[in-house]
Amino acid sequence: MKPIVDGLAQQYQGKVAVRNVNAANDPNASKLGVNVVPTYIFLNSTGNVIERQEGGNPQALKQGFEKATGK
Amino acid sequence: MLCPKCHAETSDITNTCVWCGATLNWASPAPSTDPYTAMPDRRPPGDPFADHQQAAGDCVPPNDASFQACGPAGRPVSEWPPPDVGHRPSHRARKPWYLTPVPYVAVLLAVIGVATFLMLRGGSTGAFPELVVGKQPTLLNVYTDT
Repeated sequence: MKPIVDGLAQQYQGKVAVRNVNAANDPNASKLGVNVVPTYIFLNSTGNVIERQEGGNPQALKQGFEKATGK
Repeated sequence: MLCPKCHAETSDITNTCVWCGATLNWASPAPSTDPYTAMPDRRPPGDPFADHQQAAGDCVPPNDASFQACGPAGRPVSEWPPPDVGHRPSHRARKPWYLTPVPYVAVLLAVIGVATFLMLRGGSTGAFPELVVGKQPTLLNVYTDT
């Protein structure tokens, strides 16, 4: 999934930022309540969760990017 | 009861005075002691059975064709027991709290409130403003190296 995430991050550069959270050692992982890896959480500009996806699904991930940009 | 002739206290089991042998008058009890004499007829005016009931004091001997068993004071058995008269409490008795619906409704509302709060809290998506990058929509990519 990493190449797909990187490609979408490149495609939506300047519109959607990507922050990587290592579930093994990042304290934010427990704060996010992550039980499945990978998990993708889209936040709006104020930090509210827009969408949460568990598991790798390229099509759903692309839709999440579109949703985050308001399309 | 008192004997009307010798005015001595005598037994009311027999119909004669144990002292003077006079006949005791059972047929005309004092009106004030008979609760039925002051009772109004509570039957509805259109009662279909009104014609088939005997009026108070209309009891007849058993060998009569219209015989109906009589209750106390000569009233038909169908009118016995008498309606409750004059023994109502002056105020309504207060129910104990556990027999009123108030505590149960309160508990129910509390449970609904807590459940609603938990559902909204669990269903909320949360907010993580400290994880936003550059004040723009942000994807948090939670991954693992292993």
